[in-house]
Amino acid sequence: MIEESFEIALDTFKHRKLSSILTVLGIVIGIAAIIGLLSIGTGMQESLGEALEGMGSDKIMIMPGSLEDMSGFAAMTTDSLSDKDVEIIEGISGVKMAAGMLFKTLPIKFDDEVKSNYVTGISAEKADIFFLEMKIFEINEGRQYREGDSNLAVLGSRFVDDVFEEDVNVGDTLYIKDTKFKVIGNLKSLGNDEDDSNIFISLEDIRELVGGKDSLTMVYAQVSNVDNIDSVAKKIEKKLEDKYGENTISTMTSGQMAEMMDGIFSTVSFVIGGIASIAMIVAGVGIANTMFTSVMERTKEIGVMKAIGATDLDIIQIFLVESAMLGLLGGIIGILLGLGIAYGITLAAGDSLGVAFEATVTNELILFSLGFSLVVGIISGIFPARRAAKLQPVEALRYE
Amino acid sequence: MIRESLELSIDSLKHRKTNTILTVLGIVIGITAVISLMSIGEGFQYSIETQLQAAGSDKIMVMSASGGVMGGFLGEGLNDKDIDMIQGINGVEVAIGSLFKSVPMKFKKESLINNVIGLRTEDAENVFTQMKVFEINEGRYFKLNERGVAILGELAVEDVFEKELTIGDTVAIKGVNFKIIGVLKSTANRMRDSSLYIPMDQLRDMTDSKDSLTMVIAKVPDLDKIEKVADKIEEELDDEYGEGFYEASTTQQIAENVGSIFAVISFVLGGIASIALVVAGVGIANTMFTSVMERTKEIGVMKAIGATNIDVMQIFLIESSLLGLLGGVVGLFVGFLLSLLITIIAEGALPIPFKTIITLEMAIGGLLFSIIVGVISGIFPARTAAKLQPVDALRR
Repeated sequence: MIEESFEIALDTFKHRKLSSILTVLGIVIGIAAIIGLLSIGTGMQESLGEALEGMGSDKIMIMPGSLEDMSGFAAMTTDSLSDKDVEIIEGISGVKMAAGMLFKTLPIKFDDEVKSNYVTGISAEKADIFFLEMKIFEINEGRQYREGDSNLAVLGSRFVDDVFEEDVNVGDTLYIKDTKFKVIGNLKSLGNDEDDSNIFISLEDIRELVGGKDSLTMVYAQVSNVDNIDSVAKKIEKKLEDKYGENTISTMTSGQMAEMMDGIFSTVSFVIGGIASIAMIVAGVGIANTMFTSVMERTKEIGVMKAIGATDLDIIQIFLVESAMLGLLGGIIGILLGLGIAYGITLAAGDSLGVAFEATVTNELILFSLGFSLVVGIISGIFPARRAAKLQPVEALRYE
Repeated sequence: MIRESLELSIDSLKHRKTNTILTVLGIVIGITAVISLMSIGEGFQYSIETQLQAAGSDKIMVMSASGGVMGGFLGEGLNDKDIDMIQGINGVEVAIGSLFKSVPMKFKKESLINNVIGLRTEDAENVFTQMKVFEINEGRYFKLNERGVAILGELAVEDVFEKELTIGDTVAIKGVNFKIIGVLKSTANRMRDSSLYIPMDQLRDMTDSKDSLTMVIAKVPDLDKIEKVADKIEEELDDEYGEGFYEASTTQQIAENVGSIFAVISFVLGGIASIALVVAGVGIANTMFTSVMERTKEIGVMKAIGATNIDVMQIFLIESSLLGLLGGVVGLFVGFLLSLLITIIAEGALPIPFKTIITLEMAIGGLLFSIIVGVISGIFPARTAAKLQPVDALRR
């Protein structure tokens, strides 16, 4: 019987070609939109994930403030950690090494152009740790600064060509707060614009510039064993809070950071996917519409079927199979179109974005889309199928 | 002729009721989604504007121009000399400086990190009476060169520590004791309202900040001149520090900038929701093709008794645009109800003033959009109908 239902459905599609094509087109548009939009979200999530992975899974970021009520503002303006804290952190068992950073916004002059820009201070003594061992920063051209160096600067990848009119090259000289700095290197992209447009100088130099004594914005720690990173993070928090008071310090491990990012992206994808799904509801209404017309056109046929012994269930099945096939067909074509759109986005983005980006369609998304289109097809078919099943054979036969 | 077409359309729509209702339903869902999503975007824009306007439209904020929102707060290049310079510009009534810092503080054994805003005691009179941004609700403000005293933002009373802070209490900020002498009225800004205000000199000592400032606020009573004054301030700072380093924006300009972000978001969300309208348009086309097919004979008769191709096209175009318009009107109504519902839910859940807004432009745009979708979807079916040969059509 199922087989026959399929044959009847196929016959109907052929018979009402235009109507079937337009009905399927609705589902195609809906599914293609969902896949195209979500592929962007997944792609961004993956490129960020790669950037985080590059940092390694054994890092802990230590900042002042509590994570809950921190709009980022508190952590960035506090500077309440100090060099001593770095020593304390290094003294905690399980910590391999720790290094501090200080962020400031300062005026930078290059080639008679002045811009206000982020400047990050990293201890020269620990520069090797950041650049070589922690691999938080990787040199693209030139070299990093070393212990004892002063008035040397390393540029973020975007700083090179995005901050000033003229490109800033290795060997050039620029002025930070009227102090002369020589550019000795630039970095590979860190995966986000804000970090990439930074300029990096030694901690000693930046403290000289801003008059800060031994304050730090943030401390990075590396643990010797990734398995107990969470307990080490807790220990660090406890130790520092013993000193500064409760709720004054937050730590974030690489894993927590990745989780937070995933959480944000899932929410955004969920909202955008949800809005795009409204199109699927409309497409479902379209299927219902087509099915009602189909039931009406075939009233006589249904009457005949019933007269020769077809049960209500048989009739329902015929129409449900038809509507499910409309949905599924739309789903399959929509997925193909969506994959094409994702590919197009990747091509377009590759040229315009600086970072590696690939719109990604996961297997889960494809399966979900198939399921979704099938479900929409079936649900849309329920009412028309019921109407068909309820027709009285005698009246149906009489219908003109 | 138009009237007859209308009558014909209405007849046909009535005749095929289920079909018509479902077709219109598609447009209704689409328009409802677009309207209610955009009303949320408008709502956020409104809430930001109200918050900024509460600071008064006669203010100019001067701060570091770099790197978005955070950059402004990280840049502390302005100093006391700049206050005097800005104060000296023609049109400026008063100018005050402020320094924003987050520092550890302790009250009754509970310690945490919170924002502190430093204000110069010599400016106290200007700050707390002239500016009309920071107004004392209870207690008093700083005396000249006073130290060890703090004023609470409206929310700082309850929201910062577990225990409520009151005038007379002592809070340790970075290990130094401060006695609370006053509480401010709301400044309509969450960050400012949850801050503690202390004398600038002391904050600078505690944080090693020499004579730097985060922000200078100037009051310009003459609103006609305020943008010129802002430009003038920026020019002076450009001369002093270099081009584009500091930004002087009027409250209005800031509101517009922030508002434009939300405009983009609501545009994007509305755009995604519009995909539903495209699908609904395909649905109209489908219904119209069916309608043309069902009425092939009718069309043949009309053409046989002298109806032109244009007459026939008109009949079907009117029918499809009616479908669109009907969906638009109902969708607008449902969207309106939905946005009312969102306001009711959001009012309880959000900490900021918020209400969804449907502008006249949105309503008119929604209606136009639905008619356009109807007309475009009708074009092909109407052409198919118009091209039918009367003889063939009658033979069917």
